[in-house]
Amino acid sequence: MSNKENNTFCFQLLQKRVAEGDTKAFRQIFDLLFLNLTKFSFSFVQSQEASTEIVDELFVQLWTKREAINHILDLRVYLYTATKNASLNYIAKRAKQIKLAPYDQIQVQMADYNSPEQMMIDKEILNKIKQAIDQLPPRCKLIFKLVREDGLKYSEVAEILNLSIKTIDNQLVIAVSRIKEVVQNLLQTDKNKIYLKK
Amino acid sequence: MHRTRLIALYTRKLTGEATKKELLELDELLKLEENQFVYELMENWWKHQPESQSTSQNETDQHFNYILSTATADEIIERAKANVSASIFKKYPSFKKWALAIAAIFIGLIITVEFGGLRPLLVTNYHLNEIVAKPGTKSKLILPDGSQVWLNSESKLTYGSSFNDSIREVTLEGEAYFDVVKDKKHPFIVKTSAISIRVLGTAFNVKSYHQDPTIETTLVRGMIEVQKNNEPSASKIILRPNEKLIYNKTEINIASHPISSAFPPQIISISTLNKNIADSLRKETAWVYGRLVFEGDSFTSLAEKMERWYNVKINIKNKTIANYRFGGVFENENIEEALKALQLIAMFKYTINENEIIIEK
Repeated sequence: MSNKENNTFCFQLLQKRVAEGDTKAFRQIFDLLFLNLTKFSFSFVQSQEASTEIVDELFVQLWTKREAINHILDLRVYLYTATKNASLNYIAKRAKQIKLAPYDQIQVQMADYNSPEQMMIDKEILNKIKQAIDQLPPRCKLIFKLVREDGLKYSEVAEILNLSIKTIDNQLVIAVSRIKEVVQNLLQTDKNKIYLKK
Repeated sequence: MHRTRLIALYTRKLTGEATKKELLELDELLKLEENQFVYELMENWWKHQPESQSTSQNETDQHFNYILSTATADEIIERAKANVSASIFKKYPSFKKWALAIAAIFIGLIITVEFGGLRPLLVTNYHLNEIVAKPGTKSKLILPDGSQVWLNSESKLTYGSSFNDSIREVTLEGEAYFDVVKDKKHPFIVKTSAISIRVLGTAFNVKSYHQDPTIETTLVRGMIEVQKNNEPSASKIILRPNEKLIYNKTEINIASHPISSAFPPQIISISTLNKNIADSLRKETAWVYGRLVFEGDSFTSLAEKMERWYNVKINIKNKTIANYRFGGVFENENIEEALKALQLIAMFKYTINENEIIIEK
């Protein structure tokens, strides 16, 4: 099941249960979001310990104030935004200059991708794609990760990062174009070889 | 020109944001495209979600439980603040006596290493590690996890070789000041004869001499949770910085203490200490800094403290003198200077006979 599918409907049900004190439902939310939120926080704070602490605190709050959880319309957006704010606060306490808007100072942690055999794609191409993504500018990379790996919608990312949907759209096009360039170059090197195993 | 449009539409298709209209337009554009297989490949790649990071199930469970218990702890604190003055426990059987043992040799080595500046030794083979601070001395040691412990005179700290495994547990007889290294995955627990203290924060003092009628713990920084041994289901008490808990070990015989018939046998008191006093001056923790602080102690009580501090025996022969009250600080004085200082305030005579001091009129 793709990340986009288990989106809003799933969380609303869980929220209802959590408000009633259901720890299993709370655990499900934890399993679905905790890791991604810490990675998101990591992009800003650059420290495993700090990012874990930030998201820990968020979840503690979520539970202690669980009666209010039903008021949250979009749990993912809420948690991502809260994570972003807490992370920026953390940085603000430590840095004299804060650059909020461009997200250019951050370093994004990407997930590991599947084996080439599973995807029926040549290993070399896979590596090139990985490289291309790694070399994306930080803001573009962050947005790409949030959409592709965390399964967030354009509108959600826009809300979390306080950018326009057009910007999100543009950034993704940049990312996909780069990937396409890389793939195309490789595939055209030898037109006779078949890279796609049928 | 249509290339850019193609890529834009294609991206929206990949991310699931394309409208029906856009999808149709994309199909049309793709038909004109000669490198269609590039797009096919990319779509294939895009569809495969990356595998989620493998953290062990156990780790995830632990982490989640940590979050739940922290949240619950916060809730308890809010409730406990409402009724903070006393908590009541049922009667319990008398405590076991702790036998004082001699320190294990390698632990002595660790202390030497700590003071001598040599490279630290790896301690692995022994089952039980004991550190003893002999009467009249203080010791400082560093536990395997890096936590620091200051032992006051006549105190003993014990921990097993499994210290660093899942729980960091030590047993204390006497008085010690702990500065614990933060490690959420491994709770740090101090066991005394009757109560256990679970460390959620960092720095605190525990005073549990078997001759004393009470066990005290003072929290300087962080958060600790105090639980009665032998009754894990009884309520736990959580201390916040600058709070001090006094646990009454002795069973008050209801018949002989008419006043106490109004109170149950075991009483705990929690008080909030003045946070504006520096730890080096606060009487509960001053000893770590080499100071003996006393405020309104009777001579008897002060004598007890001085006995431990100086490793002497003090015998107060006169009852009136025993009830004198003193307040002050001893820092670098030896026993004679201390006694002379006390004589400035009260009239008494003292005789020193080797390690025994007699106080009389």
